[in-house]
Amino acid sequence: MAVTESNTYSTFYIDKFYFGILTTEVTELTKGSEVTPVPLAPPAIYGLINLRGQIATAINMRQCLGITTSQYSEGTITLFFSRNASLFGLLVDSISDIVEVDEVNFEQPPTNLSEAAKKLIHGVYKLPDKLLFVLDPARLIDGIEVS
Amino acid sequence: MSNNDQILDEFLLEAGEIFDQLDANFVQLEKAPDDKKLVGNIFRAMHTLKGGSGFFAFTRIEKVAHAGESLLNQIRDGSRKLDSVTIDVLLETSDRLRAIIRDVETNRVEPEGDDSQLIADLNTLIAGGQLERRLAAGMSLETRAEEDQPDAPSEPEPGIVDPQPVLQAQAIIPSFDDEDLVTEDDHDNMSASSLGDAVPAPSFSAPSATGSEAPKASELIQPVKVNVELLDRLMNMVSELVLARNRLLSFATHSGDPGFNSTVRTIDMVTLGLQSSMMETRMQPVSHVWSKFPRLVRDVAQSCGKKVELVQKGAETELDRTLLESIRDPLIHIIRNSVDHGIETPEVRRAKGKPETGTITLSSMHENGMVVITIADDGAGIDISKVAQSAVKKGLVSAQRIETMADRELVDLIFLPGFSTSETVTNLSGRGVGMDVVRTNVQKIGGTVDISTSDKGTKLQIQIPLTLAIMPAVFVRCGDQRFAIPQNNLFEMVRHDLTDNGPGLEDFYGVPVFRLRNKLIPVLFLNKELKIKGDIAENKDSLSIVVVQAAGICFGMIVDEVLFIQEVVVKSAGPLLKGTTIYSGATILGDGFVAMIFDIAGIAIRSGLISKLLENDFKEDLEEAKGDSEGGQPALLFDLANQNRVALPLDYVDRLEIFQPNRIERRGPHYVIVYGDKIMRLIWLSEYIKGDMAPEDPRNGNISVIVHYHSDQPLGFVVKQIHDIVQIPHNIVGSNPPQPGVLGSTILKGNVVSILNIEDIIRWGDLAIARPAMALDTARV
Repeated sequence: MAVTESNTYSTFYIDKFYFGILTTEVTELTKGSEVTPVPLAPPAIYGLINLRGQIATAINMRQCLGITTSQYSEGTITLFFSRNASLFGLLVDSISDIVEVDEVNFEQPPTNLSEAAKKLIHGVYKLPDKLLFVLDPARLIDGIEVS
Repeated sequence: MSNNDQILDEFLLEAGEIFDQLDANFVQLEKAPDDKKLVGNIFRAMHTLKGGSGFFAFTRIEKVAHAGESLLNQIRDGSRKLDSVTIDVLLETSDRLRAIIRDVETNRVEPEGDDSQLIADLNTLIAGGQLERRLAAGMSLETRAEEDQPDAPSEPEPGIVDPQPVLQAQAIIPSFDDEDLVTEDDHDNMSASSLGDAVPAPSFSAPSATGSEAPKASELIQPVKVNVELLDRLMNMVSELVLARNRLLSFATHSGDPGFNSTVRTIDMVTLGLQSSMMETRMQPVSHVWSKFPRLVRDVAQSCGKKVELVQKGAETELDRTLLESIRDPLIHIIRNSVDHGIETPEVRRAKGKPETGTITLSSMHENGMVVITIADDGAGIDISKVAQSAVKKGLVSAQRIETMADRELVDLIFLPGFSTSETVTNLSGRGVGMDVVRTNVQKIGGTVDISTSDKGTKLQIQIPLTLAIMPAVFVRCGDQRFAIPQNNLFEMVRHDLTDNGPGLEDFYGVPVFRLRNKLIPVLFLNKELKIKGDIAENKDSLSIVVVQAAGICFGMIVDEVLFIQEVVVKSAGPLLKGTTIYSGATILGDGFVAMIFDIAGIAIRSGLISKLLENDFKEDLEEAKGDSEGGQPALLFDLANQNRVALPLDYVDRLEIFQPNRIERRGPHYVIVYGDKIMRLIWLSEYIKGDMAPEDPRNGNISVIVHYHSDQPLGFVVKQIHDIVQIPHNIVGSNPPQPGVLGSTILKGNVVSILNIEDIIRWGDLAIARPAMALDTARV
């Protein structure tokens, strides 16, 4: 099957969940970004990051997905993407491979996801050994803006 | 075909520039009908439009422009006199052409339409016939008024979506047009028209870099067109350069290397020059926004049946381009209001002895790093009682509150959302959504709006900061985080003594306050507001207080440490932080870390400080707080055996004495002392005052006595310890229920002081019998 732009995903782990974002959406990955906390900011916002002179908003993915059972640790990696001329950074636990998927394996998200997660997960791909949850960054940002 | 597209775009651009200039020219022409040069300009404008439209086969434009051109030709060669009907028709011609062009921008083809009436009118005039007088620009004013919905004043497009050419390093701002303030269905037009609208066309003028008055029709150096995005990028880079230079400077001061230092100095100077030149590219004269106003005033005045003249002063005053955008809508609204509601009709004005033509003066000047724009009219002023009534009727404020408000505060009611006194909402104004949006828009860019009114007219003053890009800020530390406070908001920085000898913090209905010379300043603890763990220990010796002002109040922020003052580049904190009102942006520090910039007004409001102060009628000036011009009365402060901090007005204090107990004698039920040649009765005040301490036997040792002459007889008030002479304010809070022997209490240095009612005590003293509580029999004689 041809590798097109619309079926390759950058994948990563948050907690034990395996997520993917379309590679075309991701602008950069960095390890160990310094995040400046912003007191009184909405909980979904972890803080602000200086990316070579541009200010990016760091998003607390655990908060957005409703994962309360674990915390971010030292080795957090930031996945940057752009939306509406603003820069955002997703904080994730670890990065995995770039994965090619086949549309036939696409399914609706499982019903046992938390409400918060359901809003952000576009769907899932059934991979041979695990499920890949598809994240839609646009929905993520819009969701935070609205709340 | 992209080439054609490009040519069309250029044509549309030029057309936009022409129309802008046309408006100003027409209004000018009405005042100076014999100005041949003006007529020439207008003629050439029509001619250009006609020519360009021929290339694209825009036949409507061609025909209308041709007719207009012919009429203008007659005026130019003197065979036709310019009167107001002619102007009206010419304006209508201009508007019609503009409307067609607007359509072309959206659809890229000329719209269908019927111009026969207009062309017929033009031809009538050309043939020397008569036309009935019409409203200014006839139909277009009505359509314009219909489209204009003041309840949706458009936000200026954030950022620049389409690259817009710039004139000679002066950026284009989507120019004012009533049609811009439109409803949703015109939104397409808005972004399209901003392509076409522009600053005065090059062929008419080349304003110098420092800006100038209304462009003259002379040929000067051709300016360059530069993309606004490019300018913004340049601005950003220069700003970062400035910050890097700042860091470099700090290295240089530590370096001993002369070569290095002199290079740094060079970089410093060049950066300074670069920064100021870059600033110039952002600065635009306010005339860019004002240029449309004469036409606006003319049109609105005509439709209201009034005569109004607009006087402009200081139009060359410059302002950051992005800020100009933000004040455009507020200014339009204010001017509308002035004409519609402020200025009276000619008859009324005549009756009042005012000149028939009302005057609106628009002036602008630099002051204190701010641009001050004033709009003043000589109209009827704002009817304050009507404002008050309307506010109450709309439930915006309670009737009781109105009673307590001063005129100055009542006028401010018009800034409340939902306010409008117009019984009939006219097309032009009076929908009650205007003034509060004005204030919000201005405040958003860090400015203020003030209003004053009388029957001679109304004056509105808008103050806005000159530029927002780079601003000096004070950095403070709270916990281990750094925050920036804009220097614009800074009033003073104070280290406040908390030790016992010092004044400490006092309390005003739950708000901590401290004294700064003759002001009472409320304070808040930054770490508490931000919910950060600070290190302001409870028992620290002093507090670092940054006194700031915003939202009309002056208050202090208690921080862990004041760090330094530095210029910063203000960057947006991102779309997700828009709702967090305490921040106005973020900046990147020299060490690469991000620091949040406070929005001081946001902090003040969020902390609830403002509402608490208003509720309890906080008076900042200490003279006022005393509530009396005499500033209170002097009193003697002392302790009694069973109560501390009691005061007696100094009037009652004639002498202070200390007696040894062996001088006390007993006469019947009283205790007395021989005092000079008189017998002084002793009164133990602690007996008459219900205190909070158990009375000890006061006669173990010397007694302190306050001597007071009452009907020529000395009375001795026995106290435990005399302290000091103090000033007690006149407003004493009466005890409820009334406490025997006590007039009331007041607050002095954070403590409650009871003030004695001596007359009561003296009366009781006359009826006194020995009280069992006192072991009087054990008095040693």
